[in-house]
Amino acid sequence: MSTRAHPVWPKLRLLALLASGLGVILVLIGAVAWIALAQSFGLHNPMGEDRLTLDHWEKMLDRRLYLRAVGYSLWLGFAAALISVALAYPLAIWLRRPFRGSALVSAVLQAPLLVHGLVAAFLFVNIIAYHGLVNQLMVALGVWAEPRQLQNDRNAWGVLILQVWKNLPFALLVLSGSVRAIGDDILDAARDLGAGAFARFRRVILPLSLSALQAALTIVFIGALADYSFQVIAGPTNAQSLAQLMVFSRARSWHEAAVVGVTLMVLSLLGAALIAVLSRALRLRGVL
Amino acid sequence: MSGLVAQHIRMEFGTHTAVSDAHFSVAEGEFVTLLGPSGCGKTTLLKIIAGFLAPSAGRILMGGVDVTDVPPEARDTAMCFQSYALFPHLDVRANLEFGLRQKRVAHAERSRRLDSVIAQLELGAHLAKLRDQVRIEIRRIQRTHGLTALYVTHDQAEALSMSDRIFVMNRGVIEQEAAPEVLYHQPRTAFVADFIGAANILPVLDQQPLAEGSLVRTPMGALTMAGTVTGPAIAWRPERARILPPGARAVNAFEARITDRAFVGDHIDLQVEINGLIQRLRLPHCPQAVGEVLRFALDLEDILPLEQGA
Repeated sequence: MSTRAHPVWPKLRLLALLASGLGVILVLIGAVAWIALAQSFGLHNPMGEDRLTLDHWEKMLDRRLYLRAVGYSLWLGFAAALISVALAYPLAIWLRRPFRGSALVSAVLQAPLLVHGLVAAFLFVNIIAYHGLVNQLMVALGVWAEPRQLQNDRNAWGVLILQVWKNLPFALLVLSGSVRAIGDDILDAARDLGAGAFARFRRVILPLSLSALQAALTIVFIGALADYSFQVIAGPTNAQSLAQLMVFSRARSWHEAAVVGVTLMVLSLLGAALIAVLSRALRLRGVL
Repeated sequence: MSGLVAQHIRMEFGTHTAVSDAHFSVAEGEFVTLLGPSGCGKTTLLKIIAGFLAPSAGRILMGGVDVTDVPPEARDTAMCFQSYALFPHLDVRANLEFGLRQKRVAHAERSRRLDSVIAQLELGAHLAKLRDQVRIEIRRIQRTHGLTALYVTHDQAEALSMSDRIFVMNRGVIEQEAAPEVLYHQPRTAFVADFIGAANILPVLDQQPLAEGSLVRTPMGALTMAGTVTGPAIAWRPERARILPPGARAVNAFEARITDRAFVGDHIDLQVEINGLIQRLRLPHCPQAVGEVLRFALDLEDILPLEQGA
């Protein structure tokens, strides 16, 4: 008689092992995602009767404010991700091998990780305020005749600067590990074969750190896409981010706020998927 | 790489001198090995020649052109790394193609060259399993194409078997540069004598000139040699000992008691005690056991004079 275990048991054991970690994540995120999704379709109504409907989606999709918030948040997410990574890459390469003072440089670059976003935003607003340091300096230097309105600027440069300031250390941390893992011999070999600085970056460093690049872009994109605190303190007054709109909509309707919340989740997923697809395409097509 | 000249190369890292006044030339098509123990400066010197390190002093000339300030990507050199330094994200073909792409070789020509190399690789795949065979292959390619080659190793057998000339390095200094056989039979310093093959090295206590050669007094006893010693020591090779039959007389004859005996296949390694000093002998046959005494002699030419090293 065979003593072999039933084929189902190994799978069940695997699921049991995964349950403690993955299970908690799936239950917590899944519950939130489900409630938001259900509320966006009129269910789980905290204020009254449940009614399955597309009304809330229709209303929001018709609203110019909502569409502008989608466009604005997407722009902010991608711009913050691209700029943070573009600045972090050369820094990661520069700090690849230790040199005199490199530990201090790394510590200074990673300092923003220790400062809460809200604190940073308030400090930043103080610096760029009408009577702030930047204006005082520019007037004193004679560059500007009088102080200018830099706070809550219409082009959202303030929010973008804050996003990059906050996310650059994240991107640097993720990219550094990957860039440091590339052996000196590999880069020397590329150099010996005639590859200049840009060719070494494009043909060796970038392909070998593509996974880290993808991770950095995704993390920064999702964080900036869902920004609330920087936006309400330093953001433009003529545009709302999705997170800001969600809070704003909640005062009127939980269901409309849920529509914005679901939109945020879907855009996060789509953005991450787009970054993954682009990375994969670059790798497969040997463009790098 | 055409002919290479290194002029008084010096390399300092802080207070440490990694290479001290390396001055040599390598002829076009010559195979030269930099040989020495770990930390002797051979890799530093190679990196200076390839352009990865800028020397603290001195110049590098290739084909008569000063390339000291030329970056490695613009030097006409090809470095083969100890780790092979293959690009892990590229397949075999793309690895081979890397340098050709950088040099903007046309697509058709690239394909032709790659097909030819890959065909050769497939043909030799079953052969190139041993390090020895790779060594032979490197030498064959170098000879076929008349390449000027600089090889770095700490393996003396590798250096002796491959090189036209060997530069023996110690503590950042090239102690001797010579053809392998010259290096083996006429080591200049105690370091070279000891590093290339095995050697018994003895300090010279004093010497007296003879009608032909000289008589040197050492802790092992007095030795008659063909020339004279200007340095602090002499050396003799363990395999040069000639066993004397009972009662035979010879110059430089010694009685030695065996303290250790090791059979290593093609010869027997012996540790022997001569006048209270442990020396090494390497004999093709040895009927005696540990504790027994044997008699041997050394020819005058086998006593090698050594100079002061680095």
